[in-house]
Amino acid sequence: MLGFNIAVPFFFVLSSWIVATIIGGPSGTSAYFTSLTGMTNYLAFVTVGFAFNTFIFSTAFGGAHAIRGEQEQGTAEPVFMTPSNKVAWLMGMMLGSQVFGIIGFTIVLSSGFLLFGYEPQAPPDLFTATVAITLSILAMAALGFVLAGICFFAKREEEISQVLWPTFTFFCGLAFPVQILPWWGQLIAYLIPLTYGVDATRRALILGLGFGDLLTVHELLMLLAQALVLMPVGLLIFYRLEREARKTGVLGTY
Amino acid sequence: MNPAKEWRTFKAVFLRNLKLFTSYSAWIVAILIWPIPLLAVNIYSYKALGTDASISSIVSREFGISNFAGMVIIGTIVYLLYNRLLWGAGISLQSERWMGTIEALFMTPANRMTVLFACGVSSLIEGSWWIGCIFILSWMIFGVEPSITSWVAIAAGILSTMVALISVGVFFASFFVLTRAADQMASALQAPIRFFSGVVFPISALPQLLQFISYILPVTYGIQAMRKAVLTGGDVASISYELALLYVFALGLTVAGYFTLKALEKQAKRKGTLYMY
Repeated sequence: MLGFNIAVPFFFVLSSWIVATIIGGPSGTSAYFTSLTGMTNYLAFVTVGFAFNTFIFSTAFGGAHAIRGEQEQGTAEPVFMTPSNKVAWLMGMMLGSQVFGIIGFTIVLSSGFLLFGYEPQAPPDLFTATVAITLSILAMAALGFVLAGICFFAKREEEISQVLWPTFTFFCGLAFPVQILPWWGQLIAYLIPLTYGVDATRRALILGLGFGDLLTVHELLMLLAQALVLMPVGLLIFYRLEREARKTGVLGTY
Repeated sequence: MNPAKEWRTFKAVFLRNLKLFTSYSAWIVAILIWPIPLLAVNIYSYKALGTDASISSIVSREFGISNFAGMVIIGTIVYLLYNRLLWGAGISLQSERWMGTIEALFMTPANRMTVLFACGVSSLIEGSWWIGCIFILSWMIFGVEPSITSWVAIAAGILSTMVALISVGVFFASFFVLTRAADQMASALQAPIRFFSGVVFPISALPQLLQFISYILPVTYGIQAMRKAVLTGGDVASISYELALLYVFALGLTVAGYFTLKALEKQAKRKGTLYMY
């Protein structure tokens, strides 16, 4: 898990470095990119995007990964037959995997700083970045609950994650600004909390923008609203799927 | 070696894997969808830095490839095949462990290498549609116009790449079981291979020191051969160097895989830890 959390974002940043060098020369800068984002350093943009991704990966896929693990080890049925609160169990698993997220975030951001000369354009607003990351985790946890529930039936959690990860990377602007997506792509992007979360985090860490910036406040409010709406929906879907899995006897099958 | 017996083993494993594959709808859906966002991410990484025309002009000037999307698409196809084999053949023995069948498998008189090759070929069947799918996508969405002068070169390129990649899977199969961390290792290997083999850019764009790592990866030569054959009108003679190296890798990795498998079996019999995960 740690290897995936570090290797994937780290090498994506490395690839972006080469691409930036091919297009922008040794400096890796691009006037086109700056006109889209207001940021001068593409690598800083990508580094924050992929560092942020480590939290989301742990949140969104941590629950499904845990259930799949119980299924493969033959312990899913005993776990789900105990009188313990299953949501608490699931949240424990998801939060536990955040340890990997924190390590991954720190390593990717540090490597961006040390290897690629990642430099913020203004003093970073760490408080706003922390709020944005926390709200994103809460909003994406809803998806984590749904995926965990789906895992009871679909089983192959690794394949689901394998498809969703590049899908989020594409739509949510982890590797490039969402403005270059076609209109339908942007429509999908703004339905996913991750898009607001990563942009607010970037603006805070690279441009130093916080609660005084209207766009950042708008993005944080959108994240909060999505977290408030999606969390209960995610929980409800998880409960339903878990009940259905008990009824049909597929809890432990894999 | 009894060819009839090997064929029966090959067929049994091949059919078993296809049945397993079709038993999971999530797996089928993932195989169908996965290449699309991955390819799109690779291409849009360039689009963030300039217009299509300006990027194509730079890539053409620097690397002699007129269409940057085509360059990325070919890289992505070969990478996907490698990935499928890493998760198919490479993980096959570890999967037997997860399913509780590894001890039974090692008790049978079946040739272990035949089992691994069958896993590799069945993985290729699962992943082979990607080639067609991505070619159609690239033509419809990204307007890539291939510059093909020799279909024989393309067939030879695909076949040689597949042979080398099956050997990669065979090699990693035993290695993964010895480490008991197959999925983590396979996951962690994906990103470095994607970077060093030049999936998104030609390896000449890498700093010289990093290029040395690229040279020891068979995926690099598969991508180079296919880019030459599809995008710059290369014939068999022009890709013969890459093809030769792919077969050298295939032979070397198969031999290494054979000895690793032997070591695994010996260790498993001595310690009785084959089933442990």
